[in-house]
Order: sequence, then C-alpha cells, then structure tokens
Amino acid sequence: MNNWYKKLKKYQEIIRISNNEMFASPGNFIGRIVIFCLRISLFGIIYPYVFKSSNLTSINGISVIQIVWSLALVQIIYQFSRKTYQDIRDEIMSGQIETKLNKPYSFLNFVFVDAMGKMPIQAIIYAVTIVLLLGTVFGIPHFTFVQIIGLIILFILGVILFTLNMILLAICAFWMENPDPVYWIIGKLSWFVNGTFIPLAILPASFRTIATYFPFSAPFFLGRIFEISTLTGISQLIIIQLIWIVVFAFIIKYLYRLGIKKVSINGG
Amino acid sequence: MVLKKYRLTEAKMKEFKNQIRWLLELIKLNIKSNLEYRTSFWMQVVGMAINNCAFLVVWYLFFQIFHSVNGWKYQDMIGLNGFVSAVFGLCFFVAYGMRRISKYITFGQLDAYLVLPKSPLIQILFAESYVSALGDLLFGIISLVIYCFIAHLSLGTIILLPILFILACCTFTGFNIVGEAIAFWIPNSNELTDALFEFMLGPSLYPNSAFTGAIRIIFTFIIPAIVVGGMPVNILLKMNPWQIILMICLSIFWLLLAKFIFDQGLKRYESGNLTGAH
Amino acid sequence: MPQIILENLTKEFHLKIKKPGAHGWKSLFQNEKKIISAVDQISFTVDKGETVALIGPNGAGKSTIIKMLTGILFPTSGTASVAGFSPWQERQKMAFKIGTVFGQKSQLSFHLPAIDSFRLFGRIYELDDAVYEKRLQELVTIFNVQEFLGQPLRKLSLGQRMRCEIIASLLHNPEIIFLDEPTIGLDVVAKRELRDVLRSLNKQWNTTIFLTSHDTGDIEALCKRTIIINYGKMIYDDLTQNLQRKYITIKRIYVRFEDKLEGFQMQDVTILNIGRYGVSLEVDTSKRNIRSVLEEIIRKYSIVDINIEDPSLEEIISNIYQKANE
Repeated sequence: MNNWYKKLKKYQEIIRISNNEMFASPGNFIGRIVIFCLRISLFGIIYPYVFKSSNLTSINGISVIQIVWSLALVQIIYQFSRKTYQDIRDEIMSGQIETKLNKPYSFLNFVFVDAMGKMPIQAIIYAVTIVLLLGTVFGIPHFTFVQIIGLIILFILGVILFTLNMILLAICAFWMENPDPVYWIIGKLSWFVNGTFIPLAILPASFRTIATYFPFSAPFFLGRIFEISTLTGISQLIIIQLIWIVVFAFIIKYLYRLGIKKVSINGG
Repeated sequence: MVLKKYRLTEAKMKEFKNQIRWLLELIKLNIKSNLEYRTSFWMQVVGMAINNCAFLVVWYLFFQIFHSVNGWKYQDMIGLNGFVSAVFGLCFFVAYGMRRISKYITFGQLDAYLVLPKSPLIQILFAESYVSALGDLLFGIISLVIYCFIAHLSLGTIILLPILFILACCTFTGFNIVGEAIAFWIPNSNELTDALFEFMLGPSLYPNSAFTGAIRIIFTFIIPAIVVGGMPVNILLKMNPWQIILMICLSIFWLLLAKFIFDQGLKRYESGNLTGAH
Repeated sequence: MPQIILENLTKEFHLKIKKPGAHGWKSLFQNEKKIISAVDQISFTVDKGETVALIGPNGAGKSTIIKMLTGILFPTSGTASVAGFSPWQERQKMAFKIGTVFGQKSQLSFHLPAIDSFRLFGRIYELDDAVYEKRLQELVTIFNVQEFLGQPLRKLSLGQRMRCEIIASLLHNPEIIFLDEPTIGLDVVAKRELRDVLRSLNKQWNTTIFLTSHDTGDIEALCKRTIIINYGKMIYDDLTQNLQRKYITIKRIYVRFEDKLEGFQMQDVTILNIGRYGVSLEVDTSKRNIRSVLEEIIRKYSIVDINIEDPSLEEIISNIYQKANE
C-alpha cells in the first residue's frame, strides 16, 4: 500500500514539473497557441470561400461550419505529444537511454506520464481557443448530448493513442540510424485518412473505410463527430480506439524490451 | 586623374573578387560537411522529395471536390507547391543558418563570427545546411518543369521564372532573419519565431487565390506568404508588371529591414552570458 | 602609442530574477529585474609585444572584458581602442589585426578536416594564395600538426584540436592574440606544448598575447604581466614576478630533527604540524625575521634537514581574492 503511494507520488511530481515547464517560457507557450490559431484560421478562410464561390451549402450533409470545426478538432490532437517523438528518438540515437536504465522508474512510463500530465490544462486552453475563435466568427454548430460526451471520450482516448503512436515510431530508432523517414511517411499517409486537410465526411467512401481501420488515423476520430453522430456509431469508434490502445501498448512494451536488450548487448 | 579612377575600380574589383571567393568557399565547406555522412544524406533527400508529393495528393483530392478556387485550377497548385518548395529548398540547403540565428544568439555562438573581419550575418546564413531541403529543391524544380508544360507557359514567362525565384528567395530570407533576430530582445523565444515562420510558410502553400481583401493585404505586406509563391505563380499565369515591381520592392525592403534589425540587435548581444542559456 | 587602451570600460547586464516559489502560472508575471555590473570602470593599457594575463575568480568579468575588446559585446559606457580601432564601431577592420581563441567555443568545423577550415579562414582574411600557403606551412611546422591535418576535427584529441584552433587564429599574422581559457581541459603535456608554442610565437613575431586563465601555470609560463579582476573591478596590475615579491610575506619551513622531539615551542611563529621527528612552521616575515627563526632552531636543536618554501602562486592569488572580498 505504502509502496503504491510512493510510486504515485513520483509520477505526480513528474506531472507537476511538466506543467511548470509549459509555462516556464511564456513566449513559447503563446507561440504554440498562435500557430494553432493560424492553422484553423486558414481552414476558416479557404473552405467558406470555396463553398461560396461554388454555391454550395453542404456536401454529404455536412455544412461549412461543421467542416471547419472538424478540421480544428483534428488539429487539437496534433498539439499533444508533439515533443514526445523527438525526445525519445534523441534519447535513443544519442545513447543517452543507457543512463536511464538504472533509474528506479520506467523510462517509457516517465515519457507517457509526462505527456499525459500536460493534457488537462492544454485541453482546456485549446477548447477555449476554438470556441472563442470559431464561435465568434462562424458560431457553434449544434451538438447533441451524445455527441458532446462522445467528443470528450474520443478526445481523451485519441490523445492517449496519439502519444502511443509517437512512442512506437520513436523507438524504431533502436533499429534504424534515423527513424525520421518512417515518421514522415506514416505522418503523410495519415493526412489522407485522418481529416487533417479535408474532412473525411466529404471524401469518397473508400477513404472513410480505410480511416476506420488504419491505426494511425484512429487518434483523430473526434474529427468525424458530425459524420458519425449516433450512439452506436460513436460507441464503435470508441471501441476501436480502445482496442488500438491495448494493441499499441503491448507492441511498445515488447519492442522496447527487445531494443533495450540490443543496447545493453552492443553497448549502444 | 583617369589613372586614379582606374586604380579605385581595380581595388574595388579585388575587394569584390575576395568577397565572392570567400562566399563560395563558405558554401562549399558547408555542403561538404553534410556530405560527410552520405547514406543518411541521400535517404533524407529522397525521403523529403517523396514526402512533398503528399501535398500534391491532398490538393488533388481537394480539387476533385471543388474544381477551382477563384480561377486557380489543380495544375496551379503544382506550380505553387513547386515554387514554394524550391524557394524553401534552396534557401535552407545553402543558408539554413537563417533559421538558427536565434539559437546562436541564445547560446552565445555569435562570438566566433563576430571576431572575424566579415559580416557576421552572412557568415551565419551560410554556416549551416538543412540536408533534406535538397529534397524540397529537387521536388520543387521537377514540379515547376511539369507546370511549365501542363500550363502551356510561353517562353517569355519561363525566362521570367528564375528572376521571380531569386526575388522570392530574398523576401523569404529577409523575413526569416527578422523573425529570428527577435531573440536579441526576447531570449528563449524560439517558438515565437517558429510561429512567425509558420505564418509565412503555412498560408503560402494554400490556394492563394482564396486570400482576398484584408487577408490578402496582410499576407502581402506584413507577412509575405503570398510573395514567396502565390504572387510569382500569378505573374506566370497573367503577366503583370506592377506585381513584378512590387516583388522587387518587397525583396529589397525585407533584406534591408533584416540587416537593420540584426545590426541593432548586435548592440544588445550578451554572448550567452546571462541570457538564461543553460 | 599603446596597442590596447581601456578607459573606464563598464558593462552592465540586466538580469531577470524569478521569485522563489513562483512556478507555473505565477512565473508568467512575477519577474524582478536586477542590474549587475560585470565590468566596472576598468582602465589600463597594453604595449606591443607584451604578454598579459587577466585573471580572477569565476564571474569576475574576465571573459566580458575580452569579449568587449574583441568586438563581441558592446560596453555600457567607457571607451577602448585595440590596434588603433574601436572594437565595437570598427569591428571588421580591427578583426584583420587580431586573432582570437576561445577555449570553450570552436571556430573550426567539427565534421571536416582542419585544413578545409583553414582554407576558409584564408578567404575570410583575404590572403593571397601564395601568402596563405607560406604562412600555413610555417604554422604547421611550429605547431607540429602535419599528421592530423587531414583528419576530421571530431577525431582529434582536445590538445590537437586546440592547436588547430590557434593556427586558424594566426593565419593572418595578427598583431594581438586574445585567448580565453586556452588550456581548459587539456592534460599536463598538452598544456606545456601549448605554452611553449605561444611563447615562441611572442618571441618570433613579437605578437602581443592577452589571455584569461584559471591556470596559474599559464600565467607563470607565459605572462610577464598580470591583471587581477574581482567583482568587475581591477585589484592588481603589475609584473607577474612582483606578484610573488609583494605578496610573499609568508615562508614555510620544514625541519627534521635527529632526536625525538619533546615540547617544541617558538614565539611569533605559526606551527602548522608537529611530528615525532619534525615540524612544519609558517613565518610571517613582517612580524619576525626569517634569519632569527633559523638561528633559534639551529641553536636549540640538532637538525638533519631543513627546507624553506614560498607559497605557490595559486595560494597567493587566492589570498588576494580573499583580501579583496574582506
């Protein structure tokens, strides 16, 4: 019991420090939010423009406001764990990871807790930013109660899954000189099926099918909240996310153990 | 009298020759030091070129749905992405130092350049190279060649292309330097600087014809996002002398502003002493 | 006319101080500003061919002075002239006349052989190819670096790297060379080699040497003159040998006796240590004549061996720092 408490304390401290880090340099924090606003503003310029000039009010039953909102929701996920990939990759590539092996905590847990610790405050800040920016310009689209609850769950699971995605790609560094090309290609392939630039709702049906089963697009399911709005539909997405979280967690644990063995045998 | 004038120009010629020989040596050295690691070099270059094709696919899908944006068709997006990638690629491949200035300032790395009898700004610009940018450059050039064919550009406009390209590179460089030099005043501001860079590069890759009214003015005169891609492509499409003049003026303006701000900042440079660099 | 002139040179830094306990959100707003005088009204001159050491404890302002003299930092007030130029107003013109070596910051490309970087420096200093080749040959011979000239810098030892750094800063035959902690991190042999080379440099070309160092060995071996800085103020400026003469008021005497010692006592002398067959004493020569001490010892005891030592330069300097702090 006491042991558990101490462990919890340790990770609580990690969370506290990672939150303090976020505000340590206010310029950087503001910079990040400004970039976020820029990205959603660009969607807010382009889509209304093409809708107007093509005399469209909706595509596949999705209105322009819903399109901009879903693109913004997808962007939120990208804001999390942005450094997780780089940190782990550099740790492995530089051989620094060896020094972490004899510490009384798991390096992977540390990275994961660090990323999760930042989630609540960031989530609130980005939610407020979206509501202020898009709400004042376009208005807030209609959400049912099911959609709101679904959105929150899809968001939390999405961030967890995205962090796991990043950790998996980063630990490829155990076997590759530089895992960046893999990271790029997976990242770009995801673009087409996770709704980064074009919401899945207005793409052909085949894209939506791929999106449902492609593990690297699952973190971004909250962007499909207007396309899939029923209780059963949302539940399905949540279940898919849960399955991927379990699968990724196991793969990462397994690969990490293999990688560590490789490091300790070869001496880096 | 004539002799004196002649001597003056001879001295100037020598001075000029010295500067050129130095610049060439600087760029050569920079690229050479990246070639030291050959395998990862080509992997990054090719990886980046493929990576950029993703943009073309995104816009292909977009134009399948919306067909045209204020007169721009899908082919123009090939031209735009090609142009911006080439500008980005050339600038970052030979002069990635422009994106490292703030780090040099924060960590006191300007010292080594300040004690030498050459412009520290130019030394820093060419001191580093971003390997994968060569991939962007290759992708950009190939896209532009394809664009010249599918858009049926006339020979006259094709000759104009390199000039527009150089002007865009100047604006791109000037704006980057200004953004990075903020670090002289606000230490540890790299994410703010990144935000400014994103403000230029982000919008430059979108169908620029959708930027109208106040947004167009902001992205032309305050943040030159349109100047590094959309405007040159527009000139290629519809010859417009006023836009060419505007591009010339803006490139001169950004270069001069960059030099001015950098020189002002140098007076505040603290050599990493107490700027909170760890 | 002196080659380096400083007049009331002053540099202040503005420091943001985080209030203790201000974390997270609070740290966004609760910062205090504080002004620190890193260099405070310093004046001195250096003539051509002099070898000067600028020393002081960490954070005393040594590096700040050298950085102002080489044009890296702008001063808050005061003036300076180096080789006839104002360092911060005519930086580039001055740069042709000076060479700089910063022990902790490399000027050479880490990934390339030194020879590649040297060629770049040749272009930077606008040397004609023939002049460059001749000068490079000279320096390569003096510094004995032929063997590893073609190897990437990252594969060289720290001492080899430092020699290459110095060659790079000497290619244009500067009148003055500024060195900031040149021997930091070097082993004993590498340090000695470097000092030898710098000394011959000063002899051969009458190059002025101006260095900062932590290592008193550098100062003893290289610098005729020493300037000591503490808290941004100058507290000593004289010949290095006078440093010893002026401040050595203490002598140490180590005596070994023939017979077992019982109850050793002496007036006006500090007894550092008493053993069964020997003592170590410290004599303050301003209080008691060393001769009378020796006479007393010889008179009272039968001795086997006697040693008289001066304290090391290092001790002297730390004494000076302490006095300045009091």
